[in-house]
Amino acid sequence: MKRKEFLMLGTLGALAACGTGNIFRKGDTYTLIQEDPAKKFGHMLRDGLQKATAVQKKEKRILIIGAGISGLSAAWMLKKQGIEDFVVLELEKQPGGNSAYGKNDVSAYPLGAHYLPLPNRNYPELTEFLEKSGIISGYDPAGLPVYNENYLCHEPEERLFIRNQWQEGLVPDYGLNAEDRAEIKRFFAYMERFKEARGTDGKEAFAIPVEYSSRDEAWLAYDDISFAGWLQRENFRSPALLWYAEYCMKDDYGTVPEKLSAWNGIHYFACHKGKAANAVSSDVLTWPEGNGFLMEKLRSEVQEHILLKHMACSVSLDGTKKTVNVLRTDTQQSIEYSCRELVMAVPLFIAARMLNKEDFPQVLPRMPYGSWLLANLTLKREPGGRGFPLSWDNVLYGSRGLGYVNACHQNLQVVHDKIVITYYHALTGADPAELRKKAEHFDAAEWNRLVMDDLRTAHPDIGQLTEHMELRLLGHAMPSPVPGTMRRVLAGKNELPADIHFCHSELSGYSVFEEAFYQGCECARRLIKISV
Amino acid sequence: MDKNRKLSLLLLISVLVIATCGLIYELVAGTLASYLLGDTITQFSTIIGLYLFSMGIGSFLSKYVRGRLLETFVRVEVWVGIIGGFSSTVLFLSFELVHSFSFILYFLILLTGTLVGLEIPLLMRILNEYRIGFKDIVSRVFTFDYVGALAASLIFPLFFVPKLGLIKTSLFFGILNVSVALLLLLRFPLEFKRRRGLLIFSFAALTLLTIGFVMGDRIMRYAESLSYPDKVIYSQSSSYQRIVLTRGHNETRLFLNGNLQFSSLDEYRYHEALVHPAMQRSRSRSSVLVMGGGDGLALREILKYPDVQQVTLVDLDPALTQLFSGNEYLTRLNERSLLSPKVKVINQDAFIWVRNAAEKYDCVIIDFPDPSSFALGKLYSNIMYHSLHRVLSPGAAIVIQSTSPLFAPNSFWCINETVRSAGFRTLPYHCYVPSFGEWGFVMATEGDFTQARSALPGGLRFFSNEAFAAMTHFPEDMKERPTGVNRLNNQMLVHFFEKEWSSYSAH
Repeated sequence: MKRKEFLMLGTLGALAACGTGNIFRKGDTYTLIQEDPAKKFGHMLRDGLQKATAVQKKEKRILIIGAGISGLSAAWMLKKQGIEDFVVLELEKQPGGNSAYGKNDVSAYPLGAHYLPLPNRNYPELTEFLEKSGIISGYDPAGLPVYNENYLCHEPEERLFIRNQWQEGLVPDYGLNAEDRAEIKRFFAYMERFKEARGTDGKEAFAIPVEYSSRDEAWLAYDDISFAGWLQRENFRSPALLWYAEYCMKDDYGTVPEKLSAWNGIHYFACHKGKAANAVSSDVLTWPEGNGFLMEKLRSEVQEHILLKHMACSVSLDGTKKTVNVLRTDTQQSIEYSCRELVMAVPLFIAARMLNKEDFPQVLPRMPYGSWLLANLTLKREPGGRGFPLSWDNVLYGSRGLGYVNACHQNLQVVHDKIVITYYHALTGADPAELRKKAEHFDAAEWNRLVMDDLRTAHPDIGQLTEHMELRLLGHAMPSPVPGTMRRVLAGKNELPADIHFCHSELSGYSVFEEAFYQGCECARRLIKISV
Repeated sequence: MDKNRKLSLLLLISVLVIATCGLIYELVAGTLASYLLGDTITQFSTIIGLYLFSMGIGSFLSKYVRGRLLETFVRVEVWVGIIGGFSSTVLFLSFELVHSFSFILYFLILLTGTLVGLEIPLLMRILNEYRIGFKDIVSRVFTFDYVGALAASLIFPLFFVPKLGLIKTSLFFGILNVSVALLLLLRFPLEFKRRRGLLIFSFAALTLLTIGFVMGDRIMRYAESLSYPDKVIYSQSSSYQRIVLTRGHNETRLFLNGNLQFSSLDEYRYHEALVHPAMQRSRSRSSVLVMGGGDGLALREILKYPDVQQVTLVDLDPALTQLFSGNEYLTRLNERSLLSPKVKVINQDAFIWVRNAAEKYDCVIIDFPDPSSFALGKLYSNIMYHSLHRVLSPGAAIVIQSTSPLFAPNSFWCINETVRSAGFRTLPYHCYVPSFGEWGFVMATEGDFTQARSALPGGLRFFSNEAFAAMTHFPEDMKERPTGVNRLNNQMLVHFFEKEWSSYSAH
């Protein structure tokens, strides 16, 4: 009977009107779009539009291009060793790269990376940095670090929206059958063994920094297959487990297990072995501004050496000296810097565009990059939901997105009126180059819809709750190592020009704070050796 | 012929009303179910499905209706009005009373759907009797039907839910349904054989529904009061919590978010035990800090000491402190303590406040709500206790209400251990408060505990130094146990509390 259909339609229509009305009612929900600011200038570089004549000439002993974590860490280390004759050039108006952050009336919030796992205890520079920054407050009688509990992620830490309700923790559990549960248990038992494993060279099989990992063929062999291939080979078939594995890979590598080296897939689960007097090894350190907190600690030590809005355009060789053409993006002035030592603390694809082809003929190795969409939503109140309460990290099972993090989680007040949540979405599934092209024609409404449609599954009222949304699109957010990459990385065969120094987490194949920090410190160490 | 045309026009208008009402009942049920049960998608789709299916049953049953079609139609109409109209009232009330709420929900939908399903086929047959062509009947009936459905789907979310609320909305449409029946009965008296009975029936239904409509707000309040044992005399939702006061035959109780805060019958036991031991052991008492305790009852005890010069009370909720400084009955209970010139009330988050506080205090009374959520659990963390050091003057004593050592021993001893981990010496104690049961407190100082320093003020009904000696003894079933420290990154206390109290749900 038609009447029934109509009733059905009418009801669904009314439902839809309740659910979606507010996104289209722009009165109180407006959207600000923030494009990847480096993109415009990055494309200027790519398209070679930087032939301005130099009006100023300057000289420094050491020049660092890029004030992301690796560049800042190198600067921090140089300064610590008493070297002052250096400058860090940064294209954007704020340093930080993937550790940049934003701030509004409600809270600070990350514009990229948002936490640091408890560091392993084999890298003294990092420990020292954490001590100086007040993140490690002391040591217990057994020598275990005591972390500042304001920074350890507070409970409730993680929840997952599964089968229409929130469960505690991100590993799927609610409503799973015994088979799935058993398989998940088997998977984590496997990963525990990988954590303990060492190679014949005595090194940990999977370490952080990656450089400390074993070169034993037994472990390197995992780089020959994809993570999906390994999961299949080991007979892991539970959809819940496979979803979880995919979620993790998207979260840390911006890619799917099919396209990722199994070495990296396992590394993700097996590399964190941090211990603490007042936390367990799965705990993490986090701040409202995410890793922007760590970035500020590094920055404050080397503030006077950083030049913002300075775009390095081209690098050429001039005898033993390196010449860098720099364009000030605020004044449009051009500066020619010459230096004895040049540090490229930028991703390799950017470096490749800067290097003068005649002076640097070799082709830099390329890695695929994952693209990310990040949205900071200011909500009128905490989002509800059946089951486990709002946590720091909130993920939706089966969703294409990566869920959201509550930027206000570490605030100590009991009741929050408004909060800021940071939504993450790894744009996988399509050709990255194509995605980036699509991103260039940045359609705010379309991305807005993508965020809202995803969140609405768990929060039907997200349209009404959202007061403001700030979108950020990261075209090259992180390297996504394909099989074969880690053999090259661990063999140290980077085939990079010897005249200049490269310093970036990409050289570790892993875009995380620890690797960027390690690369920065190691680079500074080499520079210090040269100068002595 | 003219009369027939009038009747058929009225019948078609009634199609419009029926369609609107029918859809409204469906929407009300769906919205209510998703309010009360959560999970909008499942609730709405099962309700739509069941409703349409029931309409099918109704349509099927319509063929068994023979003769006196108009009378049956009017009867059905009145029944739809009654059942649909009172559906949300019944659902709201039964949610608190009945365990099988879903059964009632689906039963009501089945009933309403069946009756609504009967209406249209009956109407078509009635119109057929008045010799309107089949083509026209189908066309007109469905036109009005669909227009009515559209009207309902638009006015429901845009007007009725925000303006009237669910209970009054469904009663209003019940009234509309019955009015259609009455209109038919009154305008076309000759068409009905048993008109008197039907008229009485319809008027009775209309009266009932109208009374319901007028009392809609009271029904709403009553539905809420069912979760409290006594009569609700005051209820208000502040920005932070739901404040409810109830009055029994000889006692008043305060509930915050449904949790009992005190009963006027025995609160003196709780507040005397909370305040006096710490006041007795503080080196000085000129300046006292109270955190939580917006009811002013702990304050009342503090102000019994003449050497108290000023008291700062930090409570998050201005609605609570205002209620307890304004209401006549409540100010009699707290002896107008919140209005004392010695008292300064600060409505701020205690955790944030204490980290920025500039003054020092001789005695600190902490009376926070129980750690029943992660948000409240923060107030019992080692970081919170660490930050207390900065507001303490030398020799100050602190006391913390610490839930029940009998019902929740791990929670109680966890608070004790956490306070100790923050660099305090502790003295845990407990007493019996009939409306709470056995209740515990943790007293803490930076240095050694001393004996009581001064005489107790007069007028105490429960507390004495002799009684306190017994309070510090913990018998076997509440004795100290190792638990671990409640840190922000483990919120151990909230887990203990939830587990331990879930077996005492009566509380």
